Amino acid sequence: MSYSVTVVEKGRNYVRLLFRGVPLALLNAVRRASMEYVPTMAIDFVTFNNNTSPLHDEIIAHRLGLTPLYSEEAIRKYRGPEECVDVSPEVSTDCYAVLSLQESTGDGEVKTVYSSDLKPVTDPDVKPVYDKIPLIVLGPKQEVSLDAYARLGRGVDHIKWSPVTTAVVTYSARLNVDLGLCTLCGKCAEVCPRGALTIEGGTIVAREEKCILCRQCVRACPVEAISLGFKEDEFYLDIESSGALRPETVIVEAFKVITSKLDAFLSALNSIKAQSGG
Amino acid sequence: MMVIFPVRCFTCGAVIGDKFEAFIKGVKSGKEPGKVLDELGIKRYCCRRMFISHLNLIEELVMYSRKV
Repeated sequence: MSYSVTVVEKGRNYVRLLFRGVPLALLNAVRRASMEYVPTMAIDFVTFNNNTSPLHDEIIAHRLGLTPLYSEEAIRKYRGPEECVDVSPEVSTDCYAVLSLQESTGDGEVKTVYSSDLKPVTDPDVKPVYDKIPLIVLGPKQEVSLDAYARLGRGVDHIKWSPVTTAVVTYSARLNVDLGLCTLCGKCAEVCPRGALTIEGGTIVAREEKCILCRQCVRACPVEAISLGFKEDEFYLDIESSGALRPETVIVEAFKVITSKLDAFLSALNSIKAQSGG
Repeated sequence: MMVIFPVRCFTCGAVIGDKFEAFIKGVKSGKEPGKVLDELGIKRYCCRRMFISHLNLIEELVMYSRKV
């Protein structure tokens, strides 16, 4: 079986890939694995020494948890999520990275505390990805002092550990116009929201890569010349990263997760086979 | 509505908190909110409504300390 992958579009936190000859079920497994099983670092435990800001401890802890932390190095350095669930955060340095936030204001001062004020203590590699997230606002003579403990986790337990914000598999359009029926009235080109159908130089031009399968053209055509379907062996995979991992790392790690799950399944099957004596 | 601008979009989970101050700055300089969001790369309407519907109540609440 021949297959290919092409990078259609790529940004710092975004990648769009076109897979040919890869089954939809496999791509959907990659999509789900990247959302739920690829580990990243996120703050899971916060101790407050002082908090006189108008925000409750729980709200601040929640905001800290949702702040993405760099995880490229951390996913190799720290122990896995399953090994760290029952470990005490204050004592373990191979499960937890410590960050600290110490801010206070003087008389008549109002200050916004940003994610860049959250300083790494034990590991300089584990720090907030974005500098300008407003975490807390402090009024005059207020203080926040806290220690935050980050560990590896999976999106299946809490969305803060998910390395992707959106992961989508879409069909690739097959757009056919019957030139024997088409009268070049241009109604399809008028309704197409993406400019996939245009009338150029006395003929109709279909650009399948622009089509989003909305079927507006099929509905608009008075002579029913347009047929719209999708290709059986071509799919797009869109990955938008939270910034914790690069999108290419997310996809590679997702494949690793699927492989290890299949290996575990296979060895379980083999042990059943051995038990039944066959 | 939240007292302080959310870190992530409620619907899709995209990180939006880091772009809030740039958005406010752009709107205050007289630009159209939709244009500012386009420049910041906020594409989906779930994320866009987070910006245009937010009322930053924390600016007023901050004058009162919480009783501890």
